[in-house]
Amino acid sequence: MSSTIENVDRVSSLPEEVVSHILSQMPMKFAVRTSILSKRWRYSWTLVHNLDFDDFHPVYGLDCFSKFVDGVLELCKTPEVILFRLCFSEIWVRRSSASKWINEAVRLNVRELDIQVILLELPISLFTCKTLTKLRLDCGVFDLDVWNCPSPVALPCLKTLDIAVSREPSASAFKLIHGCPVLESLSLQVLWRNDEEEYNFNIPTLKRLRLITMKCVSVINKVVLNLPNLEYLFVGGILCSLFVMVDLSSLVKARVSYFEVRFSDMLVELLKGISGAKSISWSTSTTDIPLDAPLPKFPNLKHLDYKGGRFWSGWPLIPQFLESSSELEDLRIEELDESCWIEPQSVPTCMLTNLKTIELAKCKGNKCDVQFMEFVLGNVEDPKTVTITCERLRQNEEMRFCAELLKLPRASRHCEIHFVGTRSRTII
Amino acid sequence: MVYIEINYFTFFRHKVRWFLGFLFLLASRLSRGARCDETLFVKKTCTIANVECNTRRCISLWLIIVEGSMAVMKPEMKSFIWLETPDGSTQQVEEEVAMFCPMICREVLQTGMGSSKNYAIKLPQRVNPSVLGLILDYCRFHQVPGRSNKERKTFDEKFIRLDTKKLCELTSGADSLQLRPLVDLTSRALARMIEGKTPEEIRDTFHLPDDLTEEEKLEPLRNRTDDPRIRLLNRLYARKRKELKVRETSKNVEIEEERVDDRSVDDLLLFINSGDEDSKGVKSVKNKKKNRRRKDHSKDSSLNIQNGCHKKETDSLSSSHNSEIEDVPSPSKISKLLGSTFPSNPPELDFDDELDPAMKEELDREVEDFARRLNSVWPERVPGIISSGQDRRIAPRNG
Repeated sequence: MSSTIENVDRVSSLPEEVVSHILSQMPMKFAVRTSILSKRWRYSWTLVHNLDFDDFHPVYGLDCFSKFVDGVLELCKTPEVILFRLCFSEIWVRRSSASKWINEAVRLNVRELDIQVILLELPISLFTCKTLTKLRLDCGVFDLDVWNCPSPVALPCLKTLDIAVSREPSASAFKLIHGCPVLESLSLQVLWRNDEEEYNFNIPTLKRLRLITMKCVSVINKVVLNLPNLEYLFVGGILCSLFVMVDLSSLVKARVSYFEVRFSDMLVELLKGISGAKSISWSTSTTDIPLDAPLPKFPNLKHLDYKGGRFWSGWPLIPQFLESSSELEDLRIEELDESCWIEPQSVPTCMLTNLKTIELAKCKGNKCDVQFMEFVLGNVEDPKTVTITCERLRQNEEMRFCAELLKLPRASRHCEIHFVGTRSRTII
Repeated sequence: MVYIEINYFTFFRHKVRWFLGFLFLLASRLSRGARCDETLFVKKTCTIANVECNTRRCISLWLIIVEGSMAVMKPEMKSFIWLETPDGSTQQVEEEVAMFCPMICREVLQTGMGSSKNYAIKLPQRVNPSVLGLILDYCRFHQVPGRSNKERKTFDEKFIRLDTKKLCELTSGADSLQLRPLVDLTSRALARMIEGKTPEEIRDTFHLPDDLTEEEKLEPLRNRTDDPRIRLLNRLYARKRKELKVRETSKNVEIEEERVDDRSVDDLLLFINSGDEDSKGVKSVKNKKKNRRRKDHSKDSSLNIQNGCHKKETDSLSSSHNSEIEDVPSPSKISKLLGSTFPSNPPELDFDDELDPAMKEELDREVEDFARRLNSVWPERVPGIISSGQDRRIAPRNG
């Protein structure tokens, strides 16, 4: 039953570019489906400038799918493709087909290319594409033959590069990187490092770097970072490299997210390298390896986001971090488990002067949480906000935790704790 | 402009009333303090969204104030821009809000309009007052520089909750004002509506006419070519098919016959020429056809040619052609046809405009050449055909 009095077809009267803009926002298969809606919509989809193919609803098998992509590329009338995405995780398209499609996209002056296919072979035309600004290549774990990178790589407009290689990035990834004069954002995922090749990042224009090693042999290699304009650094995976920071003077935010650390010295070296950062996000397991060396000083650090995990205890490092960052203003601790909180000998300076926001997220109401809060509340002079968020706690446990927090003595009269439970929020 | 935003607070029960009272007091003080006439008040005041009773002593209270802005007028005059909607009504809008729209911004900077009621900026046709209201709400929120991305996103999500009619109108209006972020936002909302639905549901939601036939729906989409020669050929074929239908229904045998003759030769030459993608033969054939119409009975020869050639290429033409042709033999006209020249006539058909005169002459020459070559093959076939059809044909011809 239609409640609208006027059943006027408004959407068809929108101008053609707007209609093609609307159809560009959805995967290709939905856009092509609109061709049977009515006469006006029969060929509207051919002007779509985002060609987004995925196999999230795998239907009809490989042949039909290949024909679909061929058909779309043949009938497509748009002069310029902005986004071309091939995202197949289940269908194993033939290498030659994928190569042909990428070639066609390059011919259509593609700007953003997102290739996530299992077997990958890249056409040569891709490496000299003048219009490409964003490239993502994810060959998947199965492709043991890394795609070959031809010698002269010239990608004058490429700003964002996101590569995942199985191994030996020098043959492919680094060649590609060297051919991009204006690269600003780089993400390199090495799925399996099996040699001691040195990774040398010497890119003056780079602003964001993400470097992840998923698996590697027991050999350390060297990673040299000479990135004077880098603002954001994300390192993760397995720490099995020695980081040599030649120039990281512009670093603002660093995120360290290792699930395995081979040698603790490497971690300390890394921390030395990022000591100029203003914000650090830390979620690294350090259970097995106690840190012998003291942490470097973090003179600019204002925000610390410390994440624990279910399998390791993060508590020991917190006092060290607090000691080393005298300018710290915001402290956020997430999901730390039950272990013990060891109170430091002396109160860290930041607590007395600068620390303003303290947040305890995904808290379970453990004993060490209470101990930590006792320490914090007892020493922080001037907190603006103290927030405690609990998750998945039973009502009575929440109340118990809340009651215990109430009992803690506070150094500052104006201190208020915002307690966010699963169902309610209170200020205590 | 002072913007007051309060996210959520939790209060004890006895403080609630106090807090509400404080808020209203604040609002009234601010409005009283304003020196100017207009004061924009909080659009949506406090909404108590969630009241829960945990224990006897404390209540959790959610106070969410969104989309609220209190404007505190400074003593100096704010500048306004006058806008006129297509229905003739005008309104004034704060300068910074209106200038958020590129089209208005350009108008103001280039033409200087909008400074007074008489010189109001005329908005495009698609921006009616309700749509304008929505667009200005959007601009008013987003033009404030200090907002975080999260705030903007939350606003956008709430803003976009409109019915399809309003959404389409809003898209249309935003597009005509070239407000790209809003067009993107509404397009995404419309895309989400189209994405997951079946075609029937989509037609229902947007009231689209179901005007494709069943076979059209199943027909695979063809590559609509841009090659002009192919287009020309297709048009010719379409025309010929139409004429064939006309001839079948027409009762005038003579005209029919004449036309049959013309068409057959055309088809023949077309068929022969189409192999090398050259439409010149086609065009010249068209000229020939027109000329033959003007000439009287100079076509018998052509008929015979057709017969001969038909015998060669019967597959190309439908059986109906053949049967008609056998009715119209007359050998004497062949030479006349072949010998005559064809002056370029003013084209009957629209596409002949594309031909320039030089090309036409060249085509004519080519056709003559070809016809002569055809004629040389012709003589052996003539007797048989003529004799077979002559009996039936001769009587009407004399009329």
